[in-house]
Amino acid sequence: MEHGFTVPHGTLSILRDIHLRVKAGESLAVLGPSGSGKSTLLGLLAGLDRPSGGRIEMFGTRIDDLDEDGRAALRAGDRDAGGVGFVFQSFQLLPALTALENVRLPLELSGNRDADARARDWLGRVGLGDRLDHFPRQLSGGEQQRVALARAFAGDPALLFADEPTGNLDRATGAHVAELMFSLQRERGVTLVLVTHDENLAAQCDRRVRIDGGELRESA
Amino acid sequence: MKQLAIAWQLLRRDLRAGEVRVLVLALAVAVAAVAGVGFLTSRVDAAMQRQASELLAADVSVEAPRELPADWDELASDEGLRHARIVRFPTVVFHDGRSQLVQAKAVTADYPLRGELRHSATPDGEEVVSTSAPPAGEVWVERRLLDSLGLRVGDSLPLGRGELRIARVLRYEPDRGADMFQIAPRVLMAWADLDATGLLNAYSRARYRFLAAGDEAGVAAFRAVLTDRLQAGQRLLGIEDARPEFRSALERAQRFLGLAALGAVLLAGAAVALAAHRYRERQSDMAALMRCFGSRQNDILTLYLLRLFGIGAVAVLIGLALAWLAQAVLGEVLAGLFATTLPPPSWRGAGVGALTAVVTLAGFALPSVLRLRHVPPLRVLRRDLGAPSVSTWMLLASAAAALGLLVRWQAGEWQLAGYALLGLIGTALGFALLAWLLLWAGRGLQRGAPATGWWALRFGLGALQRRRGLAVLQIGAFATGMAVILLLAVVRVDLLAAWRDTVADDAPNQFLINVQPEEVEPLRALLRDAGIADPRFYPMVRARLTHLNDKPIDEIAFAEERGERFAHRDQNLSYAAEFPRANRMLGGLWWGPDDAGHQVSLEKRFADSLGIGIGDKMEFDIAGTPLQAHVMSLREVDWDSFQVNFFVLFNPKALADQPGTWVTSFHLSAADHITLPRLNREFPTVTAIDVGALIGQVRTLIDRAVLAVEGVFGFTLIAALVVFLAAFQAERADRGREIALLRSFGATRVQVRRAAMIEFLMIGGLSGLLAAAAAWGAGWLLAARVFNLDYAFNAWMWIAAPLIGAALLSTAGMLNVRRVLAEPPLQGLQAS
Ligand SMILES: Nc1ncnc2c1ncn2[C@@H]1O[C@H](COP(=O)(O)OP(=O)(O)O)[C@@H](O)[C@H]1O
Ligand SMILES: [Mg+2]
Repeated sequence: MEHGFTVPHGTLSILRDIHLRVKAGESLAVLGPSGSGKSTLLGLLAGLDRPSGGRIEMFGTRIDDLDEDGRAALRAGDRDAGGVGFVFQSFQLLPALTALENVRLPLELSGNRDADARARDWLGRVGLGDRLDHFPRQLSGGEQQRVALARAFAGDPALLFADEPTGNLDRATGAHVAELMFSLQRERGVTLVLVTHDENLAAQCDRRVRIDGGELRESA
Repeated sequence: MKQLAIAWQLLRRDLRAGEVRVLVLALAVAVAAVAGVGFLTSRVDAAMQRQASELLAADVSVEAPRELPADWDELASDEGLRHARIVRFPTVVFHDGRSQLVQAKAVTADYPLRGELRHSATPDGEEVVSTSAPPAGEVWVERRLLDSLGLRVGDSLPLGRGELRIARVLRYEPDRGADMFQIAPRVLMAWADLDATGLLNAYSRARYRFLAAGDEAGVAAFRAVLTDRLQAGQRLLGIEDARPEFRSALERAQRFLGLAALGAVLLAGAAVALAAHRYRERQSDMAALMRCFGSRQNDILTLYLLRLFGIGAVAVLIGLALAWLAQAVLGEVLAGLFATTLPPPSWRGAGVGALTAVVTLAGFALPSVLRLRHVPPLRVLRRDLGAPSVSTWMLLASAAAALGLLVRWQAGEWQLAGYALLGLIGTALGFALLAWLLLWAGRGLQRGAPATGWWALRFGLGALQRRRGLAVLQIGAFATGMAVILLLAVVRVDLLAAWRDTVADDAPNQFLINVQPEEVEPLRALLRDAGIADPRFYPMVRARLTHLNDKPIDEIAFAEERGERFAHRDQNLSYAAEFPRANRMLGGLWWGPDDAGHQVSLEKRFADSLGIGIGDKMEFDIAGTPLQAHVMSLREVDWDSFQVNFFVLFNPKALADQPGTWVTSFHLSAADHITLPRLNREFPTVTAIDVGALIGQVRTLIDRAVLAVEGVFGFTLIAALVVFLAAFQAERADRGREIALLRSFGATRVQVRRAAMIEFLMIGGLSGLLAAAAAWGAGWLLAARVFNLDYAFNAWMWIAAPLIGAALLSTAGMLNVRRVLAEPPLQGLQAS
């Protein structure tokens, strides 16, 4: 697979000749300096964007020639039907919704019948059972990211994408959030693709790859 | 279902967001303006409908300027119909040195045949319904008469030569529709008392009616009998004769108010568009996340459409509540104009309001909201990717389409709609352009501000330049809102004052009509006694116009509605040997002693309305005798002179031997309390009309109507304020970041507040200045072009308008800045 952007004077090639296979249940860290194209790769893998060339499969379905709605359908649903969860560097909680409502929203979107109970349950698991009705601005960064984790796992995804999940957090909080994420990932047997420039975080994954100069290398 | 539940939940959150609140407010104002007008006009309309059916107080009726034949009673009885007679005439009542023009109505015992009378023992007492007329010796009068003369129930009322006891307060009469916009209060009396008062003679300006009612066949038969017997001047009235001129006046008023309300809708639309733009920005994250969670574009679209619908529904409810309130207040204001209470409004107004909301949302908000569907899911990784913003042209086109639809709908026709739309958009663009120029010119001011110690001034003025686009919108909107109010509240009063200045102090204020030939000399003597130097009497002959250039007027299609009216009403003809005072010759020749006689001189506008000019031939019918004449000259009349003037003046040779009455006018000093009562005693059939009082009453009438219009324009001003708020909302994040930065640099709250204050004072002051300029310009144009008056420069308005604008907007603005300042600077810096 390869990817580039159209810029004022030609195309800017970001990713070249990428070959990557992620096994079910495995956790993979994508390492690389800032601006190396990690987020771009993650976006492509998750089907948030289409590559300029090559092919991408998710759950055995080619997604590079699917339209947006087709790829969206793959992301929706729970484990049996695929299902994808996300955790972002900037948390991406909706400021107008409470913690509970933030977790509930994707469940409701996919028509889950016991969305409310499930959201409460998951918020309890990430240690925020007593903060259900708080708005994001009333929560600390670490707490917000835990809400985001609850939101990602509540949908029971087969695949979790995390883009610098600890990037906006201090060391201790980051470590705590990472620990929570890995323990939930193992417990649920979720496939994890983690993008980070933090070697310590990457070390906790089963496997590590490195992007450099637009190319991908396996690393120890 | 799933979408509905989520939409419902999110809607509740939406309604807490600042931009959604502004959107709801703006939409509610638009709905309130349009529905308020709808409610109000439906009430007036229903009042007229109701009166139409009761208009006659009978099933069939004949109206004539003379008493109707005595044998008709028998004819009606023969067909098994009940019958009654009424006569209405103006007269003046005196009491305690005060006088009041009243509309007297004498009725036979069986009146009313249809509908009912309502009266009470005291002005505020309980209403009693009756279907029979006052007995002999009694009068029932309207409260207004009691108030104006200081009379009470039980007092006796001098009427002509007689006196009648005031027995009841008249509250409602079914056939009042005939005199709906009645200025003079009603005095209802028994037919039997007519002779004793001596108020009526053959020359009186009275309208007689014969009424009959019964079963349909009888009515039809009687109609047939009457049709054969009708003579000139006798008019058969059916239930369908519901004052057509009032109906068309109402329709015009309805259109005008409806279009006026669209001014508020236009401004509200601007606020809606701003709020929707902000909504799109703020909702981009949610849309991107939902895409990430696997929602399809159409799901997102549905969700947002449902929410928009919900937002609209809330706005409609609030707007209708406001409209209901407004119509209640305005209805109260207008109630005095109508002889009856106004019926409750129809729900059609609510439908009109709701539809306005839908169209406004579709035109001004939908383009932005539709874009949310296109938010790329990648936004969750790259914040700079948002929903592509709507192109300005696209937004303008859809807004113009929506506005066009609304205008077309309110105007009811394309041409008027086109003008109104051009007017609305032209005004808005004109104001925006002027605002832009003012701001552009204001750059110099900012540069010229002292560099040190005046930081707030420099920064505040600079902020205006940095946010110039929004400032232009705010100034344009607010200036529009203020200008219409100024035009009605200040310029109108100025124009009225200017007009009053043109009327000479000693201009005649009393008119005497219905003076019989033999009364002229004794009356002249009486007036001389009263110190009136040279009372002039003018002859007046009642006639009907029958032909123009040998063509019956019924077959002529008049270009102007006024021509139609002029042609069909009773004509007051006069004659003069000398060219009259306060007239100007516009063309043709005045007759000399040698001219044969069959010549007539017309007032120019009268001639224009009829579509005739010099040399054309007119034929009149004077009490059954035809009279022909050629138009020999055209005159312009200075009506402000308050002299007796006539549209139609004959060569004396043609008219002098026709039966007629005389008229005179004179100036009576306000201190003279004896002349009019004496006149009334000695000449009971002469009707005195107090012009001063009449003008006063007409003014109250106009003031009330203007108050209603002002109420509608009040919504425009409120909508302008909402535009200001919406603009504030739109830049709130920017402003928050700016303030946070300033504070991180060490600016104090006071400094920040001062800078913001300068900004708002400038916006409000410039709006006021523009509004004053526009109102003044409009006033000057009206004065010069329409009314021929000198329009004085109103310095007060030029000073007050900017001050009021500055005060209003700085208050509104500072309330909002206070909230931004209350947030910790950190939050402002983090906000995206
Ligand atoms: N839409 C785009 N258009 C142009 N350049 C882009 C676009 N998106 C990303 N880039 C560029 O691609 C490179 C990789 O970006 P990104 O994937 O965000 O890096 P990382 O996440 O590793 O820091 C950067 O140089 C960035 O500027
Ligand atoms: Mg990145």
